[in-house]
Amino acid sequence: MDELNDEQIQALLEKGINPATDLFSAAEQEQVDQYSSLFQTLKNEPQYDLPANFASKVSYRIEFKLKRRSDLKFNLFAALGMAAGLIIAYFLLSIIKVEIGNQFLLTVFKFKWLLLIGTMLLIGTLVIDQKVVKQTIA
Amino acid sequence: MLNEKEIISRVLRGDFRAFEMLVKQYQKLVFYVVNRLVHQLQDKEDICQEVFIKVHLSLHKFQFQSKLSTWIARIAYLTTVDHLKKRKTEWLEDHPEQLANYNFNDDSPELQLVKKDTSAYVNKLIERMPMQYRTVLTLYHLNEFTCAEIEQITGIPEGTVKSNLFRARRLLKEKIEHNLKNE
Repeated sequence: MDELNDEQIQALLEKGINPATDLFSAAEQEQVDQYSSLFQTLKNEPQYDLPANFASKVSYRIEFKLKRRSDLKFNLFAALGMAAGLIIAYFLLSIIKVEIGNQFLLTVFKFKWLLLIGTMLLIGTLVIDQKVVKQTIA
Repeated sequence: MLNEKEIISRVLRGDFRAFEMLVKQYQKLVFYVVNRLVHQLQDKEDICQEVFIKVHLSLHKFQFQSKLSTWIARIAYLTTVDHLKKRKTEWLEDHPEQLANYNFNDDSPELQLVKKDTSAYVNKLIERMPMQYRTVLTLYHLNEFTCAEIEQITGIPEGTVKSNLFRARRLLKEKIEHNLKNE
């Protein structure tokens, strides 16, 4: 019988067949034993370094991220809602009386810097908040 | 054993307890993939977290066309490869001719220290192998994926997976044999 080569020995062990020892020469048996021991060693689990609370850490991180995202959406919608409210108010007042509409528009323009600074502050706070949260939970 | 379908539908309904169970079930699988490809300990945990965040984000796309473990292992593999590409110092693309002719260099002092402990010695030897060898050895022996599943995870053709597995094991066996003869 021809001697088993490396490929054949590996194939046998992959299939989980532990060849009968009396069929082989001493040299062949040595090769089979070495491969068999290697296959066992390769199954040994390496040192596991993740913390015990890893699953809750990941879950908390995602939960926090989603909450922040919904807060951000809410704040942006609030800002958009305010802008839309002003536009709707202007149109409604213009329908009632054009002068009142124009007066409303003039009043809004009078406080344009206040509105602009308010919006910038809101967006700035949201951006800083997101950055701080990202660093905290990282 | 988790009922995958039930747990996925619970996660998709926003149940974070179910997601924690899913993480607990697959964290070892993800860790083994990441651990063999990345050396920095802090990076390993960060990548594992990133993998599960991606799993949570894309779970609605999972169509049960493969096993959930295969799908998660693919995310883990691709996330780790992306990380290595960003840190160009660690990223070594394995060229086929380099892979075929790969051989271990002389033992480093670190390897000499663990020679008596076969398991630790084999792990150290695997750490020094090209990435494709490390990947197939881990996925096949540690995570118990088939060669076809390894193809799905890594995108490496099944035939190449088989030959890489064969060569990697032969290299390890020869190195251990050589050490035993020198003792």
